[in-house]
Parts: sequence; structure tokens; C-alpha cells
Amino acid sequence: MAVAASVLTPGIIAFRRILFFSLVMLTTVLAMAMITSAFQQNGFTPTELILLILYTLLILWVSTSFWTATLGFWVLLRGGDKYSIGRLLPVGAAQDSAPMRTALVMPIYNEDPTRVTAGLRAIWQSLQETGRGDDFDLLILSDTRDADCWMQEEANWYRMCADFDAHGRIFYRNREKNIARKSGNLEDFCHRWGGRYRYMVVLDADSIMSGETLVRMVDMMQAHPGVALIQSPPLPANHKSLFSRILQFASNFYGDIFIWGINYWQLSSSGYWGHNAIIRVEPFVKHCGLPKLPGREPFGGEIFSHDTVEAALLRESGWEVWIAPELKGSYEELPPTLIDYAKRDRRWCQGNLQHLRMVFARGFGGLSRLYFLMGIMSYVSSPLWLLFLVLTGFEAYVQSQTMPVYFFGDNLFPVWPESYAVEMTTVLLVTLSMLFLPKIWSLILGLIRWRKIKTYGGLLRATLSVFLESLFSMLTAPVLMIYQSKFVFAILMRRSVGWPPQNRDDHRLSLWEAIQAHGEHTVIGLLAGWVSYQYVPGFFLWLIPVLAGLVLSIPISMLSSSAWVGQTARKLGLFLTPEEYQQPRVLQLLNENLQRMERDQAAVAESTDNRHVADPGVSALHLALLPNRPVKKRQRHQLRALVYQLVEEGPEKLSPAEKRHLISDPETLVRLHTMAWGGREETQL
Amino acid sequence: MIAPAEAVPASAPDLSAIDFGPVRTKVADYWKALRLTDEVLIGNLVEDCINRARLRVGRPSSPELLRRAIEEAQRRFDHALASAIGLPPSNDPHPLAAARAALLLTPGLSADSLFRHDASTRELKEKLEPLLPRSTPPEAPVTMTPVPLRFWLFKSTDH
Repeated sequence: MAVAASVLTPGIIAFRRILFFSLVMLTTVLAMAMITSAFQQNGFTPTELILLILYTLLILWVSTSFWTATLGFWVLLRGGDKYSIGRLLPVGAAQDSAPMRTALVMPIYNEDPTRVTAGLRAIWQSLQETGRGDDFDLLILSDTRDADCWMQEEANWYRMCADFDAHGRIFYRNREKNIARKSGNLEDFCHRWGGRYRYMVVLDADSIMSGETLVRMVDMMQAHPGVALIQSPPLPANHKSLFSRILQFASNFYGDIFIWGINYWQLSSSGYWGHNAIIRVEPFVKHCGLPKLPGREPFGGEIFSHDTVEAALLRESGWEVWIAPELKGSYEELPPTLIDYAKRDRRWCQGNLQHLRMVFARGFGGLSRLYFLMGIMSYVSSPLWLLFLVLTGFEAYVQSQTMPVYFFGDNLFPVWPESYAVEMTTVLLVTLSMLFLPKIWSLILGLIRWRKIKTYGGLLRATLSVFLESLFSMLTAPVLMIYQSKFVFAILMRRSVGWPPQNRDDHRLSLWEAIQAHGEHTVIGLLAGWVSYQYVPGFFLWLIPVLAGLVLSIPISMLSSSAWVGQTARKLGLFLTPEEYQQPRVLQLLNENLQRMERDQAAVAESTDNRHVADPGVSALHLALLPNRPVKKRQRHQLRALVYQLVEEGPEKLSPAEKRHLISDPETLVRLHTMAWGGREETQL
Repeated sequence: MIAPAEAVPASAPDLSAIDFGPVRTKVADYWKALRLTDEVLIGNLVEDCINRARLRVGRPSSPELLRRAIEEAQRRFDHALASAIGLPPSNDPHPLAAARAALLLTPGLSADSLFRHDASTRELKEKLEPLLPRSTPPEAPVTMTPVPLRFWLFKSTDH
């Protein structure tokens, strides 16, 4: 299949990128010049030279983000971008050989089956309401290893088929071996069913997408045959805890300018975020088979953050990859607490650092390398900031210990030591402005778009929310800096973390959990405060915002994990989002489904037969879906031994793999079912 | 209609010490879990299963009798279901399990008609056919081979 021509002229692309990179470089050079002029006055010391290099790297990173937001702000002030995929004129019909069908694929791994099913039901219901539901199939691609979760997923899938009369339209498969995690899961889908579908929409376990959005994405792909991937910007939604509500507000309120800014300079060479995106199957199959990297984890082995690599491979093959800022109705969920957020960061950090090798991949263009570097920098910037702070403190200490010399040689007039406080304060103010101005841009847009600001609780509440969010992010930033620095260091020491499932449920942190997670942050904060106060009191004052975040990390983490505080803030109209102000239909459906399923589960839990192996229907369904595999004599003996162990010691003594092994064999499954009804309740898995 | 077996064969072990009440209740619960609703039918099937189980128990204990009775219930149910949907005898448990799942997990279906051998049995068969679990679509395989990646400074992937 040949790549179709783009409607964008090279001139537009070149102009926009030259403008963007010039602004970034100009800002960096100016900031460098300021700090150099400050350091140069008394000659460079080695520490100052290191500080200059660190600052250059950091300001480059900050100004990239700042100019992306500022260009996005400019675009929105002018009413949007005519060069966005949603506004470009169609260039012709697609010439794919695959039939015009779209697969909604959701790879899952030990996720909460209730939440997964409630979300899928909402997506399916919303899709049917568009009247175009017949063009779509839904495939649940399970890599779940947990035995109980596996059977629950199957039961939920079948009930979904029955409730929506969608037998033969909604599918479920559980992989026997979860090779290559999510990317391997999708690859398996492409291998087996890739020829049936022209497009696939990749969903995460927490993804919610409205039917309208899905249909619109398909239409966009149809209209632009040269596009291989369109990423919808997912908004966080449906949160209760204060932590996730603050993040949800920030993503909603500031997200627009960043997304439009990204589109402004990336255009048809954008990225892929791994979910809530539509992909043309044919080029994906042809160009995105991921190899195993030489060496062992964390730098070798399977590619963790596969999305960035897949997007690069598509771009390098001449296909267009777009982000669609105008697409609404695409949602995801956030970790509910600061600790869960850090845990997720640990995985993402590993995935991004693994891309270091990709920067040196032969045949990749500059933009692909830049995206890999940006991903790496989003984590490496933390240890760099930490080092910058430590060295600044050290430099301040050295300066405070240096005895000034006022008279040189025969000179009668004193030479006053030159202070570079003004230059350094300017540098600090410039940096802070670049960090905070995007928030101001969003507020200005709110002022202009009066109807929109109403959905954030009105101008007053939105302004207060921005202020409180800024305060909160200022306090949590040092904690995340320490966490991410530790992660980067651990990964550089070649300690892999694996890819555990994410905690998405709201749960309030206990004092003990908070102490365990943030005890060291508090100690670091107190120690750094004492050292700086004792030896460099002037520096201590500058350091107070950082120290406050560290010292208060335990109460902040606990307080922000509370759903009650989050809901109280909502009642007060703080951190309100348009989705909370007026819930979109698809989120209404999600919540209705969740409530009904939780009610059903509670009813089932009250009855005695709430166990899957004992349930004749669930057990029969599981048996029907098991692959037909001959069991060797040795394996049969092993299975019998496991059953005896289960009877004698109970299910808690079996490992998750052993439990899975037991229910993977049809004969053993029937045996366990009979035993469960035959008075051997201890055999319940 | 299934007639309850009245007589206990002479070869059966002495089960006089067993309290049959809980066994009957449990077996009746199992039949209800298999979507049977007709109390008379359930009562008859329970008695029949217990009587047949008596012949098969190795040692006279209540759990052993219960297990055998449950096995008997499964056998009877599967036999009735296979006859109803016209499934030929086979060693492959999957098709029958699929039919069982469809019957037991679809709201509004009752298994009573499996044992009635009348028009309702045919109706059930027609209802079950479109409800059989179809977990995966027909395969349409495509080849997706790993792309070789070559690096400067780092070892490249295998071709």
C-alpha cells in the first residue's frame, strides 16, 4: 500500500518548525547570556561552569514547553488552526485492501474487571447511539494472569454480549503466554485478525471514548489516506480524590494550549501516546513489528514504551501521524494518590530511559530523535534540577566563605566585590515566568471564552483553583523530583521494575503508608533546611518552597489522597472541570454501569455461590473458552499434586501461576467445580 | 418425567449413618444453579441422583455421597442438554460447555424444558444456537515481522 500525498506543503511545515525552534533557541541563548554575564564577573569557577551547563539543559527543556504552550495560546486566540487534521480538506478515499471495519481493541492485564467492563459497556452503548455501531467490533485482549480476574473477565464479556445482543461482535481472548506485554498483545491481535480490519482504536483499561469521537476518528482516517495514526488527546475524568481532581483540573484547564501548541509545530509528524488513538492496520502491521533489544532489562529486552517507537517507525516510513486537538470525548483516568502517581512514573521512567538507544538508531530523522530525547528529558530533568540545587547551595556557601579583598596593590581606592544578585534574580524570574505563564495564558483564554469559564466554576473560582493548583504543584514538585531522581538512578544501576498493573481505585492513604513513602523526603527536607540555615542563611530563604514541599510531604500526600476532601472541594466549586459541570453522555453511561455492576456484585457476594469455579455458568464458559491442549502425563501428576495442596493447605498457599495452571486444564476445572459443590469449600480459588 | 428410584440395591454400602437432609438440600441447590425452576422436577432429579450415587460411593460418608450425587447431576444435565441440541457424543468437552454456558448465563432461560422432551426443548435449542459463546472472530492472519533496528554506539537487533 503506497503512502498517499499530504495536503500540507513543505513550506508550512518548515516555517512553523523554524519559528518554534528559533524561539526556543533564542530564549535559551538569552538565559545563558544572563547567567554567563553573572558568572563572568569574577571569572568562571568549575562549579559555575557545571551550573551553566546544567542551567542550559534545563532552560532548553523549560522553554520548549513554554513556547509550545505560547504558540498554542496564540492559535486559540485566533480561533484554532486551519492546519489541524480535523480542519484539513479531505484528499481522497482510502485505498486499503482491508474491509472498512474498525476494531476497538482493549489490551488488559490484571485490571479491575468491573471497571473495565463498565467502561467498555459505556463505549459500546455510546457507539450504538451514533447509528454507526455496525462498522465496529470490540475485542478485549486479555493478558490477565490472575485466575479469579480471568474468570470474571470472561463472565463479564459474555453478559455484555447477552445484554447488547452482540454475540459475534464483541470478542474476548486470553493469551496463554503474555509475551512482550502490551505491544506483544497487540501484535498477536494483528497476526490473527489484522486482515479483517482497516482501522483499530487502541484503548487502555481506563479509556473512555464517546461513540461520536470514534466515528469522527474513522471519518478523518477515511478522508486522509496518508495518515497512519490519529491521537486523540485524552482528558482525565471521573475522579474523586483531591490529588487526582487537582491534576484533572490542570489537564483540562491548561491542556488545550499545550495540545494546540504541539499540533502547531509537529503537524503531520506527531506522536502516539499508546491509547485513545486510531491506527491504520496495514502500515502498522508492515512497519511496527517491534524487535527485542539486545541486552537485558532495563535497557535491553522488550521495548517498554512501545508507542513512541511505533510512531517513529510510521513517520520514518513516510506515513503521517497526527494529534487531533479538536477531538473531545476522549477520557482516561489518573492515579488517585501521589504515591500511585510516583509508581506509575517509575514504569514510564524505565520505558523512556530505554529510548536512549533509539536516539542513536540509524535511519531515524531528527524529529524522531528529538521526541525520544524529550521523553528521556522528562525524567532526567529531575536529577538535573536536584544537582543544580545542590551545586547552587554549594556555590552560595563558597561565596559566603570567601573573604572580600577591597584593595589591590597600590590602589588607594577600594574595589567593591561585584554582586550578581540582580542577574541571578532576573534568571530566576525568567525561569519562573516560563513555568507559570502558561497558566496565565489559560486564564486569559478563560476570560475571553466566558461560556467555557462557567464550566470551571466561573472566573473567580477558576482563578482560585489555578492559584491553589500552582501552590499544590509547587509543594509536590520537590517530592516528585526526589522520586524521579531515585528512579533514574535505580534504572542506571540496571534495576528493572517490570510492568505491574496500575492502581486506579480511590483509597485514602494511612499514616503508616504515608510515612513509609515520604519519611525519607521529610528527613531530607529537615536536613537540607538545617544545613542551609546553619551555613548559608541567605540561600535558606530561597530554598524554603522546596523545603516546605519535602517537610510537609506526609500530610500533603495523606490529605490529597482523600476522596472526601476532593468531593468537598468539588462542592465548593474548586478544581471544577467541564465534565463535572455537565457530565458527557458517555461518562453518565460509565457511572450508571459502575453503579449497577457494583450493586449486582454486592448482591452476589451476599449469596453463597459467589465463587467463579463453583458457578456452573461461569465455570462452563471458562471451559468452553479454554484451548484444546493435550496434557502430558507429568503435567497431569503435577496438576493432581496441586489439587491435593489446595485441599490440604487452602488457596492462599498457591501462587497466582499455580492457580492459573489449575483452571487452565479442563479436567481439573471440572474436578474443582465438583469439589466446590461436594462440600470442599476450601478448594475455592 | 423421571421417576424417583425407590429401592436401594442390595450391593450398596450401609449408609444408614448418613444424614440425607443436607445432601438433598445441596443437590437441590445445584439443580437450581443449573437453572431448573420446577420444584417437582428438582425433587425427582435429586432423589434419582442420590439413589444412583449410593451405588457408586466407596465409603459411607456424607461428602462422598454428595460428590457422587453432584457428578450424577452433571452427567444428567449434560446428557439432557446434548440430546436437546443434537450434539453427537464426543470426547471434546468444549461444545457442550459452550451450550451449558449459554443456557446458564443468558438471562431469562430455564433448563426445565431439557427434561420435558416436548416442543419447548426444540424452542430452547433454537434459542441457544445464536447465544453460543463466540469468543474470537474468524482469523484473517497477516504477517507482522519485527523491524530490524540498527544503532550507532549500541548493539543492533538481529535481522
